[in-house]
Amino acid sequence: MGISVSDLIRLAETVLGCEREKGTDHVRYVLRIEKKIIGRFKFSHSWRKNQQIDGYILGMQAKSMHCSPQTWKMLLEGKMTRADYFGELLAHGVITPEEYAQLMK
Amino acid sequence: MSKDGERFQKIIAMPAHNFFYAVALVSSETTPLPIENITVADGIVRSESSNSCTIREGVLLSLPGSSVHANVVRAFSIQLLPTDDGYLATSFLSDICELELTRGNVVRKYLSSLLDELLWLRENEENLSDILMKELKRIEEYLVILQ
Repeated sequence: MGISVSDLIRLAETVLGCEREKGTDHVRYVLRIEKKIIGRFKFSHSWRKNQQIDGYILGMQAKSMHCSPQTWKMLLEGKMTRADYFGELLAHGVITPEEYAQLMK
Repeated sequence: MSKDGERFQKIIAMPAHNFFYAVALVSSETTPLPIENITVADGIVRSESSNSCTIREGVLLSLPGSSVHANVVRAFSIQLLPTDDGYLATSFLSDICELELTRGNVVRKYLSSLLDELLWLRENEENLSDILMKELKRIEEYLVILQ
């Protein structure tokens, strides 16, 4: 069983605390610290919740969320925590230690 | 020669079988095909041998259901990757991607999605991280929104 759109929604809303923005053609999830936008990804409204997500698309989403494809996949599978993900962002200089602390509150 | 005249010259220079195939790929029963989209259609036809669709300078982009338009001021390529569910479209301009059943549909979807992304990045420009700001500036080198 692969990774589905439902897994994506769960990760974005429940684990990472992304904001959901609904556009005309797409749903966009945005990761913010206060007002600052750190990352975002979007997918088409036409995608069904049980639709399996292609590995290449997962790779592109990982890139837009500034983590490795392996990290993104493990997050989606529930094998990695938000702390691990934010730790990776901190390690790669995407966020500052202060921003990391804020995200972990 | 007028701009329309120049465009017409480009269209009639296209091989006939490619022209009608290209129009079929991009137009639909309910969506009229603006004359500028002929160059996009030509790019889609040419992509069949290389999995890369070139969007040329001068192509006009639009968002469905919106009056917003943008002009391509610098040519760029869309990469088309065959998958089990159709074709995936990506480019170096942005981290977005689109998935559709056919080449024509995915290129059209990608172009409107790219314009949508440009508008969103501009709307949120004040709050973008450095990485996202770079993406905005990169797209703006290739697309100009028409007021």
